[in-house]
Amino acid sequence: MFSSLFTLVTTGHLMFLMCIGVLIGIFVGITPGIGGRLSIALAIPFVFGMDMVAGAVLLLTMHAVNGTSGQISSIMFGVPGDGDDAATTIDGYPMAKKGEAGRALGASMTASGVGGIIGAIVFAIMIPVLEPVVLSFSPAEFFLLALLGITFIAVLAGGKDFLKGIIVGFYGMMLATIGMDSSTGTSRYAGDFLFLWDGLSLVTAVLALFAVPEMIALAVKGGSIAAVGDSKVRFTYKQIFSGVMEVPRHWWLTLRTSIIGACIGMIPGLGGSAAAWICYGHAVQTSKTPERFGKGAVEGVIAPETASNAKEGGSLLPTLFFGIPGSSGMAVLMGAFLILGIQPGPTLITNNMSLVWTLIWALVVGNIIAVGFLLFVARWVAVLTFVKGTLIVPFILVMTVFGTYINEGQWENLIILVVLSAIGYGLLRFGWPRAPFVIGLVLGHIAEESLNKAMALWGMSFFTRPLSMVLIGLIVLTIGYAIYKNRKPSHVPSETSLYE
Amino acid sequence: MDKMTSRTALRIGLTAVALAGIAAATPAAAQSGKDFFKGKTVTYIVATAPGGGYDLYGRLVAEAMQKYLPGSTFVVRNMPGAGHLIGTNAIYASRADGLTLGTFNTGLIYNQLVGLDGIRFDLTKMSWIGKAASDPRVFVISQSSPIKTFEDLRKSPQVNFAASGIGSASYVETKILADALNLPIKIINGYNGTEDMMAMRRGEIIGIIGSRSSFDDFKQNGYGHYIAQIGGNDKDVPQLASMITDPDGKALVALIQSQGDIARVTAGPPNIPADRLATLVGAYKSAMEDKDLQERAAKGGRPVEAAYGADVAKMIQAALQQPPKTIALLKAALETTVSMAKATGPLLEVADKGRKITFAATDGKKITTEPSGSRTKILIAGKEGKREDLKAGLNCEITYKPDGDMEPSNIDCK
Repeated sequence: MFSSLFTLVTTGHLMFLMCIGVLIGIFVGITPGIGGRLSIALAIPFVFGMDMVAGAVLLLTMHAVNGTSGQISSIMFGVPGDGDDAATTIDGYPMAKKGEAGRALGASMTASGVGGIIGAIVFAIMIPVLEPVVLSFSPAEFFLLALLGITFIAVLAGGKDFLKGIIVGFYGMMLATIGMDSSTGTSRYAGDFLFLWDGLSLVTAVLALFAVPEMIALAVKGGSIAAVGDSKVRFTYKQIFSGVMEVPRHWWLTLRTSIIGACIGMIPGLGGSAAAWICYGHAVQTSKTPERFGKGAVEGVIAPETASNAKEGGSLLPTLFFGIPGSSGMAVLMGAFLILGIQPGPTLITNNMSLVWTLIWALVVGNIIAVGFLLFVARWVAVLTFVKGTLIVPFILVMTVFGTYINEGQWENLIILVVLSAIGYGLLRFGWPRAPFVIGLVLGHIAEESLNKAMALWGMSFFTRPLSMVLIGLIVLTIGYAIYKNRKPSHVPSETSLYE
Repeated sequence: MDKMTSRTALRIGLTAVALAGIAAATPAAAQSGKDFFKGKTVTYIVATAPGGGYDLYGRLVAEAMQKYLPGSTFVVRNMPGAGHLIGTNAIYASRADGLTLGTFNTGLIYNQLVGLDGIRFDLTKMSWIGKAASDPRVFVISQSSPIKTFEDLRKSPQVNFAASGIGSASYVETKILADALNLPIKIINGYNGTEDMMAMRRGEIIGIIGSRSSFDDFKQNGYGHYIAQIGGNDKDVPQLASMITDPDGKALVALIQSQGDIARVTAGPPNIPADRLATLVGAYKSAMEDKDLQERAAKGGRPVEAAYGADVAKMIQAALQQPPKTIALLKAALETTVSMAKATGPLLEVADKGRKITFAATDGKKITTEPSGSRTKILIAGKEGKREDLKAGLNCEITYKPDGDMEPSNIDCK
């Protein structure tokens, strides 16, 4: 297993390809609206005729480091590139506002890297027990896991905003029902608008809810994103390093969210955004000071970022060993693997274990390269939060519109962007939370689809499956905990924040 | 779409200016055929997101056609959404100058046959360039199931089959075959992408009717086996048509086969000028015979089985000419409302001013249900009535939901 690592790092062209893969992955991750899936689809023509190992390493690193750079715009400008990045925005952007962009970037990049590496380790450990674990999660468990994620809304919306949080969460769930209902074949809230048949575009929704309102607020307020004075100390390597050190300081949280992320990635059918949000909720719930979240708590940056990179290792498992990809991104990756002559399936373990080890090491090394590179440039990136808002706002709005259009290539989404932006700004202006909205939108759809399937398969008795009972217990505990917390008066004075 | 057409218009305007210069120097006849495409950009619309079979074939075809139309540039544009409807509508609505082509799922034949929502095209009128493959359908059964042959399936107690959403091609095919052949299949909806394979591994789903190319790896990995096939030349699986005698069933199997024979199509909007269409078909043919394309398609597990131009148009015409009976069967399969149960006889008990009634179902079982004040239509001796008018002993025909709260939709009393 270590010979694969040795070969990988001592073969010049493999390392070169990995660096190329990392750079492309970082670029794609930074641009809102373009996912890893597109980059792989576009890279397929170039891997025709490539050596099996070289091609696989290139594509895998490209896909794996996507999440490492996606957080940059979330933290710096409050512009999430997709559903998972939106979770990072909630605490990352307030940190930037406090002038701590460097610290937030240091923490989030390190968290991504560590998450990616732990994901790869989980991958290696899980190989022998993959089958029973993955196969024990069915639509019944998907429904309950999504429900568990939704109940985090109650935790997130703690304190005096409890009711507001619930209302916004339900609003998100309502919008999650837009589109063709697959169990009845009727179009809901979509009519003849074909672009709505597949549901509301998540990228459009997160950009409208987070990016546009923050930019309007910045334009109205004037000045720069970082509300503190232009102090040169604030974007040095020292600040970034203090962020890096936050990860070992919160090692226990990092480890837990990485493992949760990898496990969610491993179970096909729950989706990547669910991992980031469930881990964010977990961090809030287990924190001794949950009221700090949404106002620039560094744990709120670490948790979703570890999850979104750790899930890559997890989601590779069913793709490689069952030949059944867990996400659309993995489906494209698997198509590319077939072209390279890799035949995913149970025989891979017996026939080509050295390739599997190479891929695991590629995940580890690729993540290290990406983090190293990004930490190196982060200093110059963080400066941007001190640039005058009037220079930043137009640029970000163009990027937002671009991301909205390019994600699905449908101009109608621009209208949705405008409408939801107005709602998003209203929520921000009047101090309503926005995180529950995205949770409702992301998880509401999974919950509904899985519930329909579970009911069709087992009727009401699906609640009595053993794993279901465990999950129900967790849900009850979460709700009970939220009620208990809300009865306790909060001692921390509230600050103006993104989340509030 | 407006954006696209305006951009196309701009492009056409610009090329027209450029062409005016060329036209002055070259004879007008040179505008036809291959020369027309010199210096032009052809947009190739793929009706799915990047990645996957349609995208792979689309990009291979576009690249190879560009090679055989010297001087042209092919640009692939993904227009995903609404089960290929968005992309197909866009292809149909584009300018018929031969500069916009595309590919989509021929499962849309079903949508057109029954006139589903969202269609803004007529497949019979499109300019057909060719098709790259056949996509025979197979009945895949999970390895763990005792069902080993089609006969076993017929005799088996009810089993779960997966399909994607209602209205999708996979649902339509599963539903019409299950109904027409009277198979003990319960369809579980909402399995997208490869979720159905995972569900078969978990055991909650026993079978799927899907395209063979998608399941070959699944079978090879030892997770499932085929018990019947529709279309294709493979000899390892018995053809479904050979195992059934029912004429309705045979008609539907023929419909599915005709649809599966025309896979991975390339088509343009109606009325592309004949000479340009002929040039495009010629380039497509050269592309399909290209060794490089064949090799790359095969590497992706996508063999080439091509047909061209008028031949494909004929196949589409044939698939869309179905007898009324077949269309009725299709429509019935797509009818999504729950079929209602009926009972005729006296009201056995009426309580709470008609808010609770009891009657006997056709099998003699007593049913107690609550008529709704707003949804339940009540007729007493042909006149509209209210719940209060219901009395025990009245002889009524009751239409009610067969499960759940059994709420009646109509109560028609003498």
